[in-house]
Amino acid sequence: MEDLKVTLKQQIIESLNLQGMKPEDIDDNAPLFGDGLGLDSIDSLELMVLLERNYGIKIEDAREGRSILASVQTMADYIEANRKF
Amino acid sequence: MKPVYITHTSAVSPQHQDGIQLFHPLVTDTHGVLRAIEPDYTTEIPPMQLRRMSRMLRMGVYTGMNCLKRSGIARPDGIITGTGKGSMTDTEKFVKELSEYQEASLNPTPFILSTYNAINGAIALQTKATGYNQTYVHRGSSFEVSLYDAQLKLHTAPEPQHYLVGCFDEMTSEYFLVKSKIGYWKADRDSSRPLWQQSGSPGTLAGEGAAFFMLSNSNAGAIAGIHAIQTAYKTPLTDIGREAHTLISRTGWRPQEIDMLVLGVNGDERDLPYYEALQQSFPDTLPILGFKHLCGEYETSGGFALWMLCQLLDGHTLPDAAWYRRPEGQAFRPEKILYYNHYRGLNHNLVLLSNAPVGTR
Repeated sequence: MEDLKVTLKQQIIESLNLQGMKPEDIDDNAPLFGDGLGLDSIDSLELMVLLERNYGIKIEDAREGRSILASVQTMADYIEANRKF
Repeated sequence: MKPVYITHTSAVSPQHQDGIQLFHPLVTDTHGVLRAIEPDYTTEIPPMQLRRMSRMLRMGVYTGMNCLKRSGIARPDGIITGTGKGSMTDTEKFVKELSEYQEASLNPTPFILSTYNAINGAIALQTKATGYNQTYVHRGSSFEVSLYDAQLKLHTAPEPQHYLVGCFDEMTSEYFLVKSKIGYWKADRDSSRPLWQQSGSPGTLAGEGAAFFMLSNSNAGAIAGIHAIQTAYKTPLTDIGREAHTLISRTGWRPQEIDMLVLGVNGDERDLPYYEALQQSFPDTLPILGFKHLCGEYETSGGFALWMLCQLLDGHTLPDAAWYRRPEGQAFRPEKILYYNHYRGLNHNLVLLSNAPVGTR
């Protein structure tokens, strides 16, 4: 699980082009949207694409997506339980 | 129609831009391309917006915001731009992903930013400008059509207004490669010689850049006046001189009052005859400012030409290498200028400009 979270953080940084940020700068439980990383709605679409391309996970329900993409921890938990590859 | 006035400018181009660094040292092409010198974008664009922007977006938004900053106008009455290709980087990325992921699982960002009006939108969002907002994509007349629209809008405005008008285009490796296969670029380029001395073969230099101008219907603080703009498609070679003279007469000027030409000579033997035809209809002593050897050929290179002309009118000295035909004396300041540029013999653009009226600066 720890390895997955580090990989996921790296993928988030690359995908969203968070320049100057390192995986250790992102707290596992900090909110990704709003006060935490300050991501926006376009970033949420980018994160859904990230999950689909890297783990074969397709999020169809936007409300479900909101809880899955709440933090790195919630994303990692969902990936562990649902990944296709 | 009444003239409109340029009060401030900003550009990102292959040449050095500011203060004592203006055109120094002069940048020459390598491998047939002139690439823009990119500034520190963080001075004009918030980091959270910057991270999502591709190179073209950064160049365009930076230049527009920088022009606004220089003018001291926080929110323009309108934003009008022209581009031949928009953000090619984003377009290429989106098309490649369409193919790679078989039209599924696509990132939204490259698609959003590949749209032509993305730069206008970003500037409008950043300045909270809710006024007129337009982007023209008319190939080699994109910039000049933007100027014309601004002139029309400002002409009908009952009170002093300020429009941010600009243009932008980029040269990606992919685009350069594709166009080189159909002979756009000069195969036998010798960069030690001026481009116009190599007009005996087909092809030109590739280029890119962004330029923005603050235009107003008030001449307060003006650098230059724009008096007339004419764009045309496929003007016959034999008509170029006549078209220019008709435009001059319609503006109420006399042809002999024109004391400088700005020409888009690009070293391509297929494009040269149009410029020669125009030159032949004016005295062979007129100073001629060239610009494509400094910025390269692209659809909106006219933006660079206008920016460079504004530097001259604003009191800067242009390097000798900028002149196709040099004026006598270093302190030369033209009063009435004819700009003619065409793109691949298809889009022909004529603009009449003047030095700012005495006492406006």
